[in-house]
Amino acid sequence: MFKPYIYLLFCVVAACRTAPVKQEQEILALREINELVTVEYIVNKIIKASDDETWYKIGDRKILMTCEATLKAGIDFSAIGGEHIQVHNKEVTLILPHATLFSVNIKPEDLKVAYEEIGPFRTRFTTQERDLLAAQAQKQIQDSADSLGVLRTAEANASLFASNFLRNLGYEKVIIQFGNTPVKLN
Amino acid sequence: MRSGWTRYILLITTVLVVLLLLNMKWLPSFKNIFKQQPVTIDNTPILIKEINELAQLCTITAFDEVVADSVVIKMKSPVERLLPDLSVFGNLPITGKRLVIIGKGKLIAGVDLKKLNAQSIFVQGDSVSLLLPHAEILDTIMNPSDFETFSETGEWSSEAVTAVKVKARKKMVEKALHQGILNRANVRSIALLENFLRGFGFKKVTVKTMD
Repeated sequence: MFKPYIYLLFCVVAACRTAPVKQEQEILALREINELVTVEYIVNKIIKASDDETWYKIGDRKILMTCEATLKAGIDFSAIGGEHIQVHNKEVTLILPHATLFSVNIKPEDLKVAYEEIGPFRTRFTTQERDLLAAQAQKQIQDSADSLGVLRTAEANASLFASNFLRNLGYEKVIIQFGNTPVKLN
Repeated sequence: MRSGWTRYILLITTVLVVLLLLNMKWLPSFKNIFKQQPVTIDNTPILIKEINELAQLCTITAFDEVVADSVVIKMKSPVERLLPDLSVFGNLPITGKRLVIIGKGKLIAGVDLKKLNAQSIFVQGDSVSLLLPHAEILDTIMNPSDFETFSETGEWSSEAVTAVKVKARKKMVEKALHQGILNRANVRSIALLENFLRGFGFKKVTVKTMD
């Protein structure tokens, strides 16, 4: 009578297994880089989260955190080769690579819990949970770098720095281009 | 006999329908019914506080992983002695809390080219001489996503957790300095700028760091 149900239960239990997790070995070391950082944006963000989606947990818990992040952008210095430099007497043309975002940094001391509301049947947010929420904020900040104008400012600053540096080398006319687009003509 | 067959057919049909619905994701899977839903943050606006113009030539980065911990031990009060102790101290007359975190991050070293001035560059004919400032640690990146809480017993305030994280970052800086990151950054900065200046046609290029 119960045999089919037992077989069915056996099949369901047998099918519930954890998929093997593929782990990649990380190599931590000193590495050479060639980044010319030309801009730093310091931004603020409120991290607002509500833990009320799990149906079997009684009561909600909410958290409000403030964070300050530093975004750094600039140009890849190694991408500047001899073919990107043209010199004619006292006139020089330099083609720089387009700017990229190098880092988003949220320092531990710049992440603060402003408010927490915990239901009577719930536990407080653990350190790991708070870090996971802040990691989401970090991703949102990183994704909005372009709309904040970080890359545009990085290119403008790179152009200004290169221009001043080349004038100090004795060039009277300096032309800086990014890719194929002329940025600044003097 | 017929009712027995009907029962089997009904059972097989039910199983097949359920499997089909599961496969088409019209039903929540069994394993997800008691799965905790992830907490997602709201998409709040980002406010720009400061924009700073920099000229940092980053030449060496050091990736590292460090462990930092903090333990608070105190004598049990008479009331606490009567209660079962769920911390690691069991029946001992002391109790406490412990936090162990693993921090993964990176350190960036290089030279601050903003410190260059007109006197730092000397040009004569096809010779150029550049005096660079010394390499320094330009950035230490240890983001919230780079921390893993290995062990947490007892209640820890966010300020106390921050202190442990800062300790982890300090350890990472000390390790990198011990590995000679600044010397390597100096050497690499000189090589990069020599190569850059040669691109302008200078035959004799001298790049040195300030004494």
